[in-house]
Amino acid sequence: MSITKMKLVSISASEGNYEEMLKRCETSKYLHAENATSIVNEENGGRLLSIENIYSDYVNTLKNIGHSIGFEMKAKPTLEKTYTNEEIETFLKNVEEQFKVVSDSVESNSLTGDDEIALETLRLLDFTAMHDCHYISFGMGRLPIESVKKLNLIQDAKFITAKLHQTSQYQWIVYATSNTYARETKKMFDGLYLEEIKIPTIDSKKIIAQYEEELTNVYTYCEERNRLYSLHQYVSIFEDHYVVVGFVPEKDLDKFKTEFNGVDVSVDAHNTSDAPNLTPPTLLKNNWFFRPFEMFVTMYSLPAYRDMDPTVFVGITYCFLFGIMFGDLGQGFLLLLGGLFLEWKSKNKLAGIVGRVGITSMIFGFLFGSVFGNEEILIPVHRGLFNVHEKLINVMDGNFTMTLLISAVVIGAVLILITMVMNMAMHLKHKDWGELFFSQNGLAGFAFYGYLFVAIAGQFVFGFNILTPMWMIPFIGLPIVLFFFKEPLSHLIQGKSIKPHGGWGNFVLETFFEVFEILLSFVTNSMSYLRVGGFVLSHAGMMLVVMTLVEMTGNAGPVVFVIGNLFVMALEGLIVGIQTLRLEYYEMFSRYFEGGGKKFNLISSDN
Amino acid sequence: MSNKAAGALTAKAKAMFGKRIRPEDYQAMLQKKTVAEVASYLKNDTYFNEVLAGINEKSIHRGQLEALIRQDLFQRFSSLMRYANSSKGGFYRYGIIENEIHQILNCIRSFESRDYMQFIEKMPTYLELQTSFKISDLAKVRTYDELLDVISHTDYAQIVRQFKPLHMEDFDFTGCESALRNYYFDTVLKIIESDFSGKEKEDLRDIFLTQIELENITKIYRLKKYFDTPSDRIKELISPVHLRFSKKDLDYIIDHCNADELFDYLAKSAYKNYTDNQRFIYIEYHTKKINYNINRKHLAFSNNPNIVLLSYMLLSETEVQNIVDIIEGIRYRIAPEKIERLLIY
Repeated sequence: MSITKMKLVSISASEGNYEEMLKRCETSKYLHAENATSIVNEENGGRLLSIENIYSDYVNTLKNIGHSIGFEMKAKPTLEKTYTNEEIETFLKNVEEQFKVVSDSVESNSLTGDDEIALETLRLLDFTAMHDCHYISFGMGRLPIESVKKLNLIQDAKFITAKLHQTSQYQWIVYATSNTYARETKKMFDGLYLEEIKIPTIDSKKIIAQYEEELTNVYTYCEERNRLYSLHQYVSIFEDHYVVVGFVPEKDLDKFKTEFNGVDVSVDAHNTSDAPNLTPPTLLKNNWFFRPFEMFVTMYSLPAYRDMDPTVFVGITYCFLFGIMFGDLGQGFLLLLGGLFLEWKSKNKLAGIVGRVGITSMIFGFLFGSVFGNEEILIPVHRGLFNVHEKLINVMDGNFTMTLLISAVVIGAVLILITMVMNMAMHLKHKDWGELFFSQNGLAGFAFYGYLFVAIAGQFVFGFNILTPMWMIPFIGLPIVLFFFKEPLSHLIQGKSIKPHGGWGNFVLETFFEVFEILLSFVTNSMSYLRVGGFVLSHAGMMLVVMTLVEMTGNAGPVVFVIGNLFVMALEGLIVGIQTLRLEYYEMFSRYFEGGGKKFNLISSDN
Repeated sequence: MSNKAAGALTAKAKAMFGKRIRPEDYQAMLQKKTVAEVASYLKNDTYFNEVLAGINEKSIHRGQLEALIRQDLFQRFSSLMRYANSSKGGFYRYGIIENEIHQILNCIRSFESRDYMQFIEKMPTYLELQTSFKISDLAKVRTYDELLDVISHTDYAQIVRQFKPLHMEDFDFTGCESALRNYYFDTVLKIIESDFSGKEKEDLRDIFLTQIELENITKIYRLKKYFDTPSDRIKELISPVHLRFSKKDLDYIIDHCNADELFDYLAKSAYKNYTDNQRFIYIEYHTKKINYNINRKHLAFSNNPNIVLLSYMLLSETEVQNIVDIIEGIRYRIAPEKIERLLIY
């Protein structure tokens, strides 16, 4: 439940071995490589590996040839043959000459799928043989169905036709006639709106079949070389050593080293702090329950390597808030089953989240006494368990509404205070004293907001009063002053000049509005949590409508019950899901989370 | 026709007219450089998408595109006929009769010129099930007698027989065409007379008589302008019906007006409210525009299913002709503004 600890590794090999080293790096399951440009600088005397990648051109040429003749270039899983550059050049020249003829005759770009089918049938007659006929002319094309009927009306026809293919609009035909009547026949077919397709002069498929094996071998070789050359960006050269620098999870270091067994390379591991100019990548590590919530965190921003991973906190608060807003034992159970099933089937993280929020939805559904919108079914259980008159929490009770809304704001206030503590912990770790002490999410803000929270609770719930000048001066007055002078005070701690950047006049004006905005945001952020209570009522209200409709529709009641529940689940589930995410991002993340981390990318994922 | 069916037909026809090609569509098509681009526009941006669904617009033949659009017109007619009353089926055959006459005349042209292929190419074989004789049999006709054999069991036989020449070079094509056109109008007017009554009869007569009268005007203009035909011969060739022109008016035009004066006469006649003074091009444009405006009025204001159907079909024919004009104009690289002047909308 944190960010994976990394080790800085450098893998070095001699000139003769570096390609094998790169091949092992490419297939490594643990290596995040750093680009050589961030390793090499003037001081350390390193240089980049710069060799022109001719194989990239070869690969493109081969793909172009394939595209023009309708042949899909596909590399073999294993390399069977190797070639010298001269051999490749000669081969390419040869096939280009050969296939130019083919691509000219096929005109593959202008043919439709149906044309191809018709040509495939015509291929049985052998294209070359048709062109070699001295006394017979052939033609083929698309003939509109209406015109096909008219072929029978022609008397003394000087041609014969054969059907090649047919759709609802066209019939593809081939016709044959003697050379004497060729022009007349062509004119006649023109009149019948024949859209002519040129019969290829040679059979491209035969030539493709002839070259297929060699083409694939050359392509496989060039593709592999091209891939290897693309990894040169990670190689820096120090004297005679070819070095790849990167990061490997600390726990996998030994396994990583074994990946290079049998190759003459040296693998050295260092602490990440040994290279302060390199930012270690972030690899989140969470258990089964919280792992899907990484999606929400990374959607916002990946935490920096030295920051804290908020996934667990997000997981807990998301489930908690969703559960309250979507409290229904039956619907929660369906979410749990459906979500987990889809997660298992498709590995979809969102489905995983749905499954997990189903659990809290069930818990709160049980506490609210709600099962598929039925508000009575759990009354006996509640009476037995909690010794209450009806239900433990009756959200539909008008007297409970105010309690519900106040509870929502209290939950929000507690969450705001927790996020402030998290923010302070983060800045303490980074020794960022200005933010820690003087910001609205630091100690000053915590004292201000926490005091107000305790004072209001004391006044209305516990019966004590601390809203007196003695308390207000240190917990309201002082924090406001600290908010106001945060910038100069931070500078003071850092040993810089306390004079603000834009001068004092500008500072006072700007900061006045900033402090006003801070105070306002404490109120609006707290009020924002009212939606939690609002959605409890909204969910219960929608289910009440469904249950009323079930009663009204008599025999069709069960159908309405099922459709109504599914409808509410889909609509309300989506809305509550989005609103909870909004609370996470706007009310919580904005207080403690900065992000800006670099994603851990395996070198193999480059290709 | 039940009230429900009548309402359905009226609503359907008016809704279909609502999907018509708009001026902006015509403008868009006029900007196209190739027939393929027009085909693509019709397929993707107009209600012709259904009939053009399976075509390869990049390589479609101009003639094929026109044929499909005409075929769509027939299909629209057939789909509306599903709502129509079978007891009035005779009236709805007006379109088929017109087509049959067209095919007979084309057949005569084909064996006169010995160009049988062109006749076959243009033949609407999709009408085969509706026609009173087998139109595909006309493809095998090589002589006048063979033609009479194919149509022997129809009313056309008697008319066509009257014009049988000793030698084909003596054949009076104009006379035969006029006689067949007269038969067409006579037949339709008789059906209207016997099957309809009141305002419905009056409106249907108005539509057809307008068509005949404007066809007469066109014929007079062309005979005067291009053939310098004597007045007596003109009087023989036109249909003996009058609507907005009296017999006296028509005789005056034939006897005393030259081709250009005929226009002035038309512009001051009872048709003046339906003419388009802005865009004087040629006589057919003028007469078709009048017809178009009259049919627009009928379609807009009538709730009678027969009137609505008839005026919708006549307006659709104009629309199809507009598209054909655009396609041909683009094919023969005519300037867009010149093609635009031919369009009626």
